[in-house]
Amino acid sequence: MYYILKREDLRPWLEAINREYTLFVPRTRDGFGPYEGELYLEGKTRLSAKEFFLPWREPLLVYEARPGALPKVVEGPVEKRVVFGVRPCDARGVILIEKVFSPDPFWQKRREATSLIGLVCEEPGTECFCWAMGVNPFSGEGLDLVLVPHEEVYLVKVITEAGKKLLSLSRAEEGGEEAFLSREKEFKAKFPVSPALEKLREKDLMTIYEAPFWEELALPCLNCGACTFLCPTCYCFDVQDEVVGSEGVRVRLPEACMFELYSRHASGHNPRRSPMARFRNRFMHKFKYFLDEYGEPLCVGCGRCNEECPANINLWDIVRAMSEV
Amino acid sequence: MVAAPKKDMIPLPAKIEKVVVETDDGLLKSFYLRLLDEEAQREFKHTPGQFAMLSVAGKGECPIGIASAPSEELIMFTVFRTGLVTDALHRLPEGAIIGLRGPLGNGYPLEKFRGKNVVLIAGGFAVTTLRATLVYLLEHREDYGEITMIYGARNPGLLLYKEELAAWRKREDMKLYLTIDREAPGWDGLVGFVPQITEQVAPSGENAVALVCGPPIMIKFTLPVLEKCGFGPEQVYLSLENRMRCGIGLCHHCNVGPFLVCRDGPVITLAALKRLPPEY
Repeated sequence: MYYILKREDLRPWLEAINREYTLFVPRTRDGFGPYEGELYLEGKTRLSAKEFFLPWREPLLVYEARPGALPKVVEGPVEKRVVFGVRPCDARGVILIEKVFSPDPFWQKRREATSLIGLVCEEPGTECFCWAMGVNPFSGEGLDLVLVPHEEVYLVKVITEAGKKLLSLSRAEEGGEEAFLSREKEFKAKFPVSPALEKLREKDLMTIYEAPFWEELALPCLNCGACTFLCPTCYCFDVQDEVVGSEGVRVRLPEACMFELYSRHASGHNPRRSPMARFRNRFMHKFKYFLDEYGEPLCVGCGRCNEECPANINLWDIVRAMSEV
Repeated sequence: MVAAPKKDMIPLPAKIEKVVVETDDGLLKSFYLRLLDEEAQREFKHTPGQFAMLSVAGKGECPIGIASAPSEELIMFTVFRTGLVTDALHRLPEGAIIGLRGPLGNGYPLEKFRGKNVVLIAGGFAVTTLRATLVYLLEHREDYGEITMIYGARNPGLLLYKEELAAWRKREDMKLYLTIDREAPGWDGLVGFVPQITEQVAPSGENAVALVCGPPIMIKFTLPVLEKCGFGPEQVYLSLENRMRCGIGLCHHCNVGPFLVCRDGPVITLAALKRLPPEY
C-alpha cells in the first residue's frame, strides 16, 4: 500500500505519534534522541539505529553484593517506542544482527517494543555504498514504513500493520505507487550489487585467510575499535559485573574484536595476539564467515567506518583484496 | 543426546555441596554443585565433553568443562585457580551459592563411538571432561571395545582424582597408564611425557577413536604419534578452549574462523580443525 505525505505534514504527524508513543528521531548529525523538536534529515547519523536493540548498557541481573545473595533477573525494556528517520542501511543492519540474536530474550523484547519508520536518502552520501552490499533502500526490509523524499512530498510504502496504524495518525493520502516504483527501478538500474560479493562467496576461506596482503592492509590500523562501535552490524559484546557499594549488576556492553583483551585467555595465551590477526578477523567475519553461514555479508554499506577511521582505512581496499586474491 | 542449549544468559543458583582440594599445590579444587531448583537439578542432562558457565556474583562468569558423568548426582567441576572468577570461586566455602549456566556446547559423540576401542589421552588438569567420559564408558562397558587411558602430570602431587585412579588401575576391563614428567620419590609408575608414553603404549588406530585433552605442547607432540599408530584425522577428537562471554553463540569472542567454540564445539575432530584458521 502506497501513500503520499506532504512535506509540511511531517511535523504534525511526528507530534501526533509523540503524543501516543515515545518517539525517537535523528536530532543532530550525532545520533538519535527523544523527539523534542530537533530533527536532522540531511543524511545518516553518526551513530546508527543499532543502539535501540544493542544498547550501550544492557543490565541482565541485579544482586546484593554479599555472599549467597540470589541475583534478580532484569525484566528488560517493554515501553513501546517508535523510531523515525531510520536509514534503510541501518534497518538492514538490524535484520542481519537478528540472524544471530533472534533467540536472545533481550533482543526479542526490544524488537517487539519498537516500530521503525524508514527514510530513504535523497542522494547517496559520499561514502555510501549500500547497493553494493545488496541493500535495496526501497524494499522496506526491517521497517514498518518507508518514506521516500520526492519533489514536494514523501512517497510512503506501508510494510506492516503497525506501520499502517502509525500512518493513520497523519494526513497522508493513498497514492504514489507509480512514482515509488519508478524511483525504485531507477535506483536499481543505476546502483548495482558489487560483483565482489559473488567472488567472495566462491573463494576458499583459507586462501583469503592466508593471503599475503593482510600485513600491509592492517599496518595503518590502530585497533581503536571506532569502526566496530559505529558499525550498524557489529554485534560482539562483553559481559561485566559492576559492583557499587552493596549493589551489583551484570551488564552486557558493546565490545570490539580489535582489542587485545577480546580473545586473551586467563592463562595469558592469546589466539589473536597480533594487531593484524584482529584486523583480519573483523573483515573475515564480515565478508567470509558470515557470508558463508548466512548468505549475506555482515555489512550494509553505510560507510561510517570509512568516514570515521582515524587512520583513513577504506573498507573497499580490503574487500577488493579479499575478493581478488 | 545433546541437550538444547539455553538461549538466555541467566544463571541458575547452585549450592556448593562439597569442595575437594585435588592437588598438592592447592591450585585445583573440585566443586560439587546442586542446583537449588529441584526440577532444574533433575532435568540437568549433559553429555561428557560439554561445559557450563560458572558465575560468582560481583566477579563474573567463566566456562568450565563438566567433570562429572551424567549419571552422577552432583554436577562437578574441577577448577584451576588462574583468573578473576576462578580465584573468587576458590575462596568460597562449602554451602556457598554460585551461578551455573549450562550444559553448553556439543560434547563427545559417544553414541558414534559404540563398538569402537576408545583411547583417552590427557595431560595435566585437562583430564576433567575425560574423567566424565571414562565414567560414562565404564557404565556402558559392553557398548565399547577396549578402553585405554593415558594420563600424565608434572609430578604425582598434580594428578587429579587419586582415589578413582587407584580403582581404575585395578580394573581388568580397561588399561590405565599414569605417568609423571620426572622421577619423584615414592613413584613407581611410568616416567615420561604423554607423547612418549603414547608411543610406547602404541594403541592401534584400527576401529578406534582417540580423545586428546591437554596443553598445546602435549597435543602438538601427541598427534604425530597417533598418526603413526594409524589414527586418521577423523578418528582424533580434541576439545578447544577460547575466551567466552555468552557461551551460546552470540558474543563471538570464541570464534576460530567461522567455528564458534561454544556453539560448534568445544569438541572437534582433528580433520575439522585442520580446515580452520589456527586461532585457538
